[in-house]
Amino acid sequence: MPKEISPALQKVSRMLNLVPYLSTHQNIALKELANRFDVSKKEILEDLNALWMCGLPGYTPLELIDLSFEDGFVSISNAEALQMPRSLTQPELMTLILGIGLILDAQELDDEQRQRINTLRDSLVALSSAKVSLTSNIDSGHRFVIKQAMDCRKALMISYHSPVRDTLTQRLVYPISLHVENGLEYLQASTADGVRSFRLDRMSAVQIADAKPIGVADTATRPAFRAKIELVRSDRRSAEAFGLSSGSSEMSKVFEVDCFSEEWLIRTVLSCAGAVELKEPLHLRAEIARWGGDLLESYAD
Amino acid sequence: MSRKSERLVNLTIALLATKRYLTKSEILKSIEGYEGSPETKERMFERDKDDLRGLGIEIEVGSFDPLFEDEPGYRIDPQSYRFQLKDLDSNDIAILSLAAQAWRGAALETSALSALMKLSSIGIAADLSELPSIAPQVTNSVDEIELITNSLASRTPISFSYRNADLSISNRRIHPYSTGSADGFWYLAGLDLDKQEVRIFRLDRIVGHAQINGEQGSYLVPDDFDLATLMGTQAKKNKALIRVRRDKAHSMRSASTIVESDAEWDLVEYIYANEDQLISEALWYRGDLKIVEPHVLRDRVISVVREIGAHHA
Repeated sequence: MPKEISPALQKVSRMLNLVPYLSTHQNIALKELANRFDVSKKEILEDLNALWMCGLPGYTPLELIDLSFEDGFVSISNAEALQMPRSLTQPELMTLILGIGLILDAQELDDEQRQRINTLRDSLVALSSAKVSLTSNIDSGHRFVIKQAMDCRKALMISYHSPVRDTLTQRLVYPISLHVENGLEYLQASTADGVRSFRLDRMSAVQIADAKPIGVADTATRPAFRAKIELVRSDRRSAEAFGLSSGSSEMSKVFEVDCFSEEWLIRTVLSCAGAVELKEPLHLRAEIARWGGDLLESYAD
Repeated sequence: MSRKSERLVNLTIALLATKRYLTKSEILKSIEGYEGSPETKERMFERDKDDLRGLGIEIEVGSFDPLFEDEPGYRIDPQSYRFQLKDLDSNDIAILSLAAQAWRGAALETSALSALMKLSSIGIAADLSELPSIAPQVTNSVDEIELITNSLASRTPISFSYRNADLSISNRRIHPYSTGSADGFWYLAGLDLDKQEVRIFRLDRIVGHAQINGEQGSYLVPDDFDLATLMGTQAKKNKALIRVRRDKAHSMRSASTIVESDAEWDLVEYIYANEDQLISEALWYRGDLKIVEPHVLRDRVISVVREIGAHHA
């Protein structure tokens, strides 16, 4: 079944799903029905017209499915055989299991909710012929406080760890929204430097602040510059550290990247453990050589 | 195309409504849409059965009359056609809908949408009031996930070109066992046919597209296989002693325990996954972190730093 499902079969599947859906949503507007099934109004009309021709053998009006369109509203009757909601297919089961994993990971849930969702997931897993799982390192411990602050429109004082500068800073921020991206939770907030995103897993403490905003001078970003880098050793981890995509078929030895922080560049070049050489800018080359010297000295004793 | 859709729907209705098995000749005679020579009709029926099965509809084959060895009969058991989960309440519907909606605009959208339609067909309104307001969203989905979930569902071998750790590209032939996401990446675990070992692959390292490479149902997934466990066993298990400058290297600190401290340094025990990773982290923190033990690693850091120095001299 991994082969693509043909348009004709997609239509059959939609027709079979339409009957139970209409049975529980009688008198639904045609336009809404098309929206729900994510097809055009024309397509949904074709589906309905085809359904009208279907029924039990004999195919007299007594056996045919009865659809009525009144002023653009659709109702169905005489469709007992197809009326029950269809079973979930294997791909659908997997899609739901993976989705539930995301909810469990990303959401602040009480024990009862968590229990409930786990039970639901277990029953889906029991029906699934394949194994899917989802693990994550999201720690949502701070969500509750952040939401509270958003509810009462208060500022937050967060202790934020910046791995680039390796510092733990106290920042006063005004929360705007929470979102999950690539499996990680982010807070978007306005700060003295403008709107910034903060990863929740990098916050070590979060508390609601009563203080008036203060000018937090925290200029992490400098104007962007370009760096030229050479892969000295063929090393996937180093290439990925500079944002090269392993999935692309071409990967050149020498490449350029846009950088926002000199410190990030220096640390990343060092952490590639000799697999890369920074070609440009020259003054950062010198910085790296200097750090190398310092490191050797510190290991000497 | 429309004729075919109608025929398939009519076939489904007849097979669902019948109390006993219907023979092929009954089907071809009474169900609308079977036309042409007897051979054509038979071919149509065979293909229709495959098509319905392809849509996840189970067609039972049984004997029409147990006393006679005559032609087989067909029917669809309403129990297998019906939505599997019973006694769902509005809260359950809400959770399942949220799970499906996480795929909006992402790779598994088609399956998610049809699952959503089936859920709403149950006719119980979702009660979202007790759920957290934030809706999860898959944003890191890769195209390959659809092919992979399909092949997992039907146990079909696949193959793809994969970017290795040394940046070379090799062709992999895999029996997929499981898929999942962690740390913002999608992973596939499966038996590597050439290596004869279960391996884990990151989907964003697949070069080009994965392909079907074999028949459905051609392998079994070991009963005790579990992706989370497999990833766990590859995780941190080695110990290192590290000197960390006070108030520095915060992300390493959460995974370590302090052995002793003085005014400037903490000596911590750190559990790590692999040597390269540890060396890379040690270099990231520059002079604020020093590996004390194991000695081999300490020596490797020193030689790596010499190498970096030579490159940038």
